[in-house]
Order: sequence, then structure tokens, then C-alpha cells
Amino acid sequence: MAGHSSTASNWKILRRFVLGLMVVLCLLLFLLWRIDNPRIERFRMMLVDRFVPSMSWVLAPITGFSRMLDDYRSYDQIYQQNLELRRELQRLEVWREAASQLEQKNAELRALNNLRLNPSLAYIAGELMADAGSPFSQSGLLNVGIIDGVADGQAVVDGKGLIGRIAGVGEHTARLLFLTDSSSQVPVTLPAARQRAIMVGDNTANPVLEFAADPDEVAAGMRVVTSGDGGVFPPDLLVGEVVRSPDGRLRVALVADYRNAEFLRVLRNAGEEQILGPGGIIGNIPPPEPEVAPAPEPPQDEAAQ
Amino acid sequence: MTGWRLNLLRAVYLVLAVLCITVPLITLDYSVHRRLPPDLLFALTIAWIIRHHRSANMPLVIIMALLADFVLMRPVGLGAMMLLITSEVARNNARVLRDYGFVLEWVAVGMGFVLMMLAQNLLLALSLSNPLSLGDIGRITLATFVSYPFIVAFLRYIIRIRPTTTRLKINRLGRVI
Repeated sequence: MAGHSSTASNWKILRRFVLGLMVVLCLLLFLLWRIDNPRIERFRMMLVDRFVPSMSWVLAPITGFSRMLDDYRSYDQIYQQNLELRRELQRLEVWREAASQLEQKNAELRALNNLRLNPSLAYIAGELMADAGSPFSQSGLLNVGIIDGVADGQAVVDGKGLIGRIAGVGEHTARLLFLTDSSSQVPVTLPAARQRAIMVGDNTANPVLEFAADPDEVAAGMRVVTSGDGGVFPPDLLVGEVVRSPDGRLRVALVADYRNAEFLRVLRNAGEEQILGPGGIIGNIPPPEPEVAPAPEPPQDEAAQ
Repeated sequence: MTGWRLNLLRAVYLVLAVLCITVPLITLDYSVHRRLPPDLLFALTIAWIIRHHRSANMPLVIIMALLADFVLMRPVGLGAMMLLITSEVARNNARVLRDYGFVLEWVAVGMGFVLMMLAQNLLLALSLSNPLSLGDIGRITLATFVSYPFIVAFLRYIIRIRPTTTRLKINRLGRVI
């Protein structure tokens, strides 16, 4: 009896020891995550890349079912919607005519000017398939990855405008960090005010505009587009428009539709030309060293002359 | 309890835990104001441990909590540590919690969750990373609190885990061990 209870108490002590050890290990892992974030995040992406696609047998039916419910709920407004759409269509017909005329004129003028446009962006479409699942991050998981040519930092747009950037890619999935996340900072331009600013997410629906040169010049309703500074995003992607929050700060009302985000485009930068040195006019540039010695002139030349 | 039945229960716990990690990933709404998912893994683990603590043992809980940390974009290691400590507290007090009856157990688990989230926020603030806002903590707590009875009912009527019929062990001095 005494032997039995002493084994039990030994067992209890061992258990407590293991528990303490595990708590310390978890704490160390947490500190490692704080200090060497990129490595752990890469490991996380690898794990997510394995885990989430293998759970798609749970994800897909439930998502599909809730989408069906959502659609069903919208049936009772369908008549109203139909009327509105018809009216809108009438107005848009006029705009379409104007746009096609302008497009034609634009093309003619460009041809006259012999203008060379930016290399067009290549894109790949993906489906947003999972949420972050906790309030620690405003992000989603896209079903395209390295094998589709997705890379870190690429811009992602929905039908209307910029929605976020790629932060972490796996083999078949990629994490899309939304503009609303507190670690999202995007250089933007306000074309109407001719100013540049940084748009900083703060886990609210409207990111803050910071570092504008003259905030008083900026008015609510101005369009905000990406500036392309820093070379991460392509320039001139529509982001949203300026609003003023009650406390007087400049914020951005995003055009991207986060409520019904489903199919998105990942923009693959086609690779911009790098300008490495100064041009020839600026100064004397030493001639580049020939990489191979010029071949001795063949003797037939002389004979020919 | 025979060995194979214990292992079967462990396997069932594993499968349910993986489901609890997957379900919060599902949403149609990606805006900031979306409904925050409950911490299902917490609710499942605590409810399971109070009912049958031998089948959800420490290694399983650690593995599942770490997986949840990684997959659900939480601070890695912190959530696992918190769940581990809370589950051990629940394990040590399982008999008391069972004897309380369900309502008191429910309240105690809810309070434990709030304490856990506050401790987690404190550690996040100490390590200079972004702690959760109190509003977010309130929303998660409410969601977890509401989902807890459903999980308990599921465990009780579908998985049918019952507290092991504890024959009271009495030592030679007549005390209950």
C-alpha cells in the first residue's frame, strides 16, 4: 500500500516537472516568435499550406452552404434590385459609349505621340478560401501559391481596387494581408492634391493617412491611388477615397469589398527595367572592360582586300 | 477502462480538435467587423477534461494547441501555454467542477477564459507586441461562452463520454485520496 502511494506521488512530481518544462518551452517558442519572426512565419506558412488544403473537405461544403443561404436571403429583394439595375444600366449605356469613343481617341493620340506604355501587368486569379480565424491578424488565405508564380509583396485587387498584398506563400496557398491590418503600410498618392502619403492600417475599417505633406489641402472625397514608391506595388491602383474621421484624422474609405470578397487577382509585376548607371551625357564613363579578348583577325580578310 | 477504448477516445479527441481548429477558418465576410469565432479548441478541451481527463492527456493538448496557434495566426506558443495551464488547472479540479453541476461549471469556465485572455494580453503587452482590444476579448469570450453548452451536449449525447465511475479510493486513515 505504501509502495503504491509512493509511486503515485512520484508520478505526480514527474508530471508537475513535465508540465513546468512544457510551459517554459512554450514561452521560449513565443519569445523566438517575437525575435526571429520571419523564420517562424515561414514555418507557419508551410504548416498552413499542408493543413488547410487537406481540410478542404470540411471547408468547402460549409462555405458553399452558407453562400447558398446568403444568396437565398437576397431573393426577397430581387425585384427591387432588378429595377435598380435596369435604371443603372440605362445610365451606364451612355457612359459606355463615351468611354469607347475616348478609348479610340486615346489610342490615336498615343499612336501619334509614339508613346510606349508600361509593360502590362500579368495577373493570376485566385479564390479566397479561409479566414485568419483569430482577431490577431486581418488576413485571408488564397488558393494560389508558389507553383502559380505568386511571390511575397505582390498586390492583390478585387474587381474595384486594391485589397491587400501577399505576405507569406506556400506551395499551393498564399496569405493575403488586408489593407486594414495593423502591419500594412502602403505608399499612396492623392492625385487631386498632388501629395504623397502613407496609408497605415490600424485594425479598423478605414486605414489612416499619415505623412501627407500638407494635410489641410486634402479634402474628403479625393481619390487615393498607389504611388508605386518603394517598388512593391505597381503605381496607379485605385485604393479608395479620403474621409475625415470625427477626431479630424485623415482616413481612407477603401473601395475593395471585404464583405463579399471571393475571387481576387494577384498582380504579378512583369519586371521593371532597372536603371543602373548614369547616362552617357552626364560625364565620362570608363568604357566597360571587354569580357573576352578580341579574336585575332583572320588572315583571309587581308587576302580578300 | 480497457486500453483500446482509451485510445479510441484519444483519437476522437484528436479529430474533434482538428475540426475545432478548422471551423473558425470559415467565413464569407472578411471585413473588420466580421463575427469573431469562438475559441472552440478551448471549450472542447476544457469540457473534455472535466468529463474524462485521462483521454485528453497533456501531450495531445499541447500538440493541438500549438497547431491552433500556427494555423489561426495567433502568437506562436503563447496560446498553447495559456491553454496548457488552464487545462491543467481544470484537470486538477475536475472532480470539484463536476460536482458543482453544469451551471456553475459553465460560469467557472467562462471566468477562466476571461482570466486566460487577460493574462495573454498582459504577456503580449510586456513583449511589446499588439495586445487585443478589450472589445475583441469581450466578443470572443461571449462567443466561447455561448458555444460551451453545445459542445458539452455534443460530448454527452453524441460522443457519450461520461465521467469515469470513480470508486472512491480511501487510504488507510479513511481519507478520500
